[in-house]
Amino acid sequence: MRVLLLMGSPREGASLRLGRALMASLKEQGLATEEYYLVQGLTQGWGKLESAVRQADLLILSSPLYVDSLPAPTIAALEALADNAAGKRMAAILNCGFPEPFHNTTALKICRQFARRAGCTWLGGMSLSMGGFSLGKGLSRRVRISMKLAAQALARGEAIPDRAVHLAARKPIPKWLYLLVLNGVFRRVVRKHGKAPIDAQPYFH
Amino acid sequence: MNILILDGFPENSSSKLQALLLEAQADPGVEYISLAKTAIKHCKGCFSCWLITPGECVIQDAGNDVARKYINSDAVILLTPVTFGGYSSVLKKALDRMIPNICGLFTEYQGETHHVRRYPKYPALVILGVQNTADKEGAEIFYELARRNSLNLYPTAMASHVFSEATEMEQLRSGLKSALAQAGVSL
Repeated sequence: MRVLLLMGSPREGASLRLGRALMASLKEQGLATEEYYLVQGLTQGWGKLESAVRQADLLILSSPLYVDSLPAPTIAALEALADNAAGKRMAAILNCGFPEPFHNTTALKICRQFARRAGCTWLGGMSLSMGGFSLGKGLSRRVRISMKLAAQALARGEAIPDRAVHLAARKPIPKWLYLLVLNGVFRRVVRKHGKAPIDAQPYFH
Repeated sequence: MNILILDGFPENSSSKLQALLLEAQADPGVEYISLAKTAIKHCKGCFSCWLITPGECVIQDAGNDVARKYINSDAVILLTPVTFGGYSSVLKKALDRMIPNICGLFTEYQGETHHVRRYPKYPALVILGVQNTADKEGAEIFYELARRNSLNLYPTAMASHVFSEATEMEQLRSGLKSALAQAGVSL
């Protein structure tokens, strides 16, 4: 079985690390792996992605949350694939910077809706919060375990088990602490490197 | 009333609703932007608009102009084909570039964590989706997305509606009118 990681982020951050963690676990299960940066399709066209999808049995989308949904280049890729992914299996990993994972819920439904429209078998999704900030240098133990559980199921052609979903969604630190730390870091960075105050209103006439 | 219409239909497709909204262009208070014909680079997720140049995107293109026009409008109308229950990539490329208009700091809003508002006033938001074939699940996701957006973009009023392309023109016209009225917008 061949699996293709669809990299939904324009950056090389949390989405890449999460996606690659799942891919590493899938490799351990004996799957052949490949990855494609969806943002490349905007400049090189979608042909390369389409042929990579043709050769794959399982598609894994790893993407950040942009304005309650998938980033524009990711949507563009899914638009291109809507008639070119029938018969594939599909799962998704979404991550957001908010402390609550439920912010990803709508975007996850959009992934599932794509799968339905394209004729893919939907094998579920995992939702992580607190962005790359909370993942640590190596991925935390709970994330590694959740990826491993997901990989074992996906390799058998089964849906991601609830336990993997719940582990992935667990908050690594309390919400109040996350907000305190992140807001502190934001203020500090803007004070040090910002070219305007943090609450500047440059577009207002 | 300053109204900004952001048309997210791809170049090779069209809708009766689009034709109706294009009629409004004649009004001097209305600006109609066909996003398919507007070169807007994708948000790179660099967070410069929150941390380095607060409120401003570092990508100098039409995406910046649209964000500027957005915040200076009384109402913004988003128009899109319902795409997997969400917005088209054409509309989303503009929407992704709106984040300079909110502040990176987190706050509690309606029992959830959201970003702090940057401006004292935001435009009313009318989000209109069009389906070629009726799909209840897709429409439900669309309404949910519109509601989530309204929590994050702080519109003074919000309305969303999913139209069917098969609807007769006159029915479409009255449906549009009532969706706009719901957000206090008249065209």
